[in-house]
Amino acid sequence: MEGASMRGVLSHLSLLEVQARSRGSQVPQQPSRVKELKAKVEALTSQRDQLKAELQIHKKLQKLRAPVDKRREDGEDEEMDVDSGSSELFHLMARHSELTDLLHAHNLIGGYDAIITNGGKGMCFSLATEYEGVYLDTYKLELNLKPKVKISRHNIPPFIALNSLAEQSNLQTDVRAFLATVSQHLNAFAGRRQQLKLVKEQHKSVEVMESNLLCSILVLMFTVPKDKTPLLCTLEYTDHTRYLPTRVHLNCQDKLLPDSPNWKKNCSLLKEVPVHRALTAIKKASDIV
Amino acid sequence: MSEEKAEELKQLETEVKLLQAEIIALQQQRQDSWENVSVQFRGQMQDALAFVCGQTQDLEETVVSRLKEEVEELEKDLKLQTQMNGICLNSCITKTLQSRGQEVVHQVCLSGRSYELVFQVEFQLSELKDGSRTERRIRDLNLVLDSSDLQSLSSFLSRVEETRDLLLFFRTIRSYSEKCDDRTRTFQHFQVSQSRTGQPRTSH
Repeated sequence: MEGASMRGVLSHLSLLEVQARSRGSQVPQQPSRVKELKAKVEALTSQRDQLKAELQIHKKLQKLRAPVDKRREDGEDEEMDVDSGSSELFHLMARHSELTDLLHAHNLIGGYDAIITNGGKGMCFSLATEYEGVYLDTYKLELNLKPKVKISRHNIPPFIALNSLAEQSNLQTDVRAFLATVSQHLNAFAGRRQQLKLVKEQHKSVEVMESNLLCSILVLMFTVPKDKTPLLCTLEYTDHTRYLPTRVHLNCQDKLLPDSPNWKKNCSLLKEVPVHRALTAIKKASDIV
Repeated sequence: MSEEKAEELKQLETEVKLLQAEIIALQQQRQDSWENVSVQFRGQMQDALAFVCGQTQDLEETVVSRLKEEVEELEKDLKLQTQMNGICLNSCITKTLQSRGQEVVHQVCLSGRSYELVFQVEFQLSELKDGSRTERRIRDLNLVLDSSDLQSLSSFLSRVEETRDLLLFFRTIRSYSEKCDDRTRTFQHFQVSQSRTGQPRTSH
């Protein structure tokens, strides 16, 4: 080939090459916006499909969990197996959701949430407390089961005499009785403490003079409307498994006041009804400010 | 930008808007369906869901066998809780009544028994997020007991319903039914011994 034409071909080729390269480099420069949107569409599609499937499954699970008679009533039974490709899967899913709900229910009703620990040598329990519909603190207690049943770790406050409760309720032979006793003490304590909290919140005119950690003693100062006489009221909760006081004692400069029929009635009330509610009634009767 | 690219862009943007609207509608549907039964999709349930959507490479048998394993664990756990709590729960249906901001309210319907005492309990559970804590509260408690000894329990029942002391209710019926059960078994034991020897044995 002649030199000039060779050069012409080569330069033509290199021109084509340059053009091809520049065309190639134009594509990424093009709206990465398109790429962005395509990716978004993919993600949203996947999210939508998952929601659709969730709703479908939800419908199926609802039918599977409905009582058997209702299912038959609705003529649903046959319909279920049409999709039988994965009916074992759906039945498992229904059972899974049922079991999850039942376990959650055990927790809601104050169950011990028992867990086996230490390769079977121990057990851990949750002791839930609640008062008047309000869930309060949950305490944990771990027991070693072998060789003997022994209390291991726990976060129960020291003023609850755990060891003596263990002896009383025969921890070695009856773990459940022990747990029930501890739960009873904890709930009564939590209830008394909650009552004190409610007294402070709902009855600002009543002054809390004294209370102890176990909330087994409560000393309150009332103001009697007539002459604004101060009246000291001591509530003793000697039975630590109860929310109500066993003894109510009044102290007043006016020695006759505590023996008045009204106050005799109020003392009985304080032994029958939780203190925050008793005070509401006493206030309503205008016996205190 | 070329015209076809601009066209493609418009199409994609429309598609995105349509999908977003569809998703919102489906989420609302899900919310509404939760008012009948609430189901959670976590762990193996999440995997099973992904399988049903065709969004996983797993084989059906793998998904099934893993889910089966988890179901077996849950069965074991339920047996343990039933034994330790002394309460046998037959069914629990949870409906979501409200899920707004920090507060979720569920309607819970339980049925079960403690020894021979059969119960049905219905209540509303409110869960309010307060920082890192969640405050749980019972509202509107309804108790139904099937017992031959309703007289002694009826005043207790109405009091507990009023104060909404759900946990107190369960602690009480457990100990009550346990004692009834003990009494019945003791009584049966002495009946049997009596019929054998013809003479009542002296109690210890």
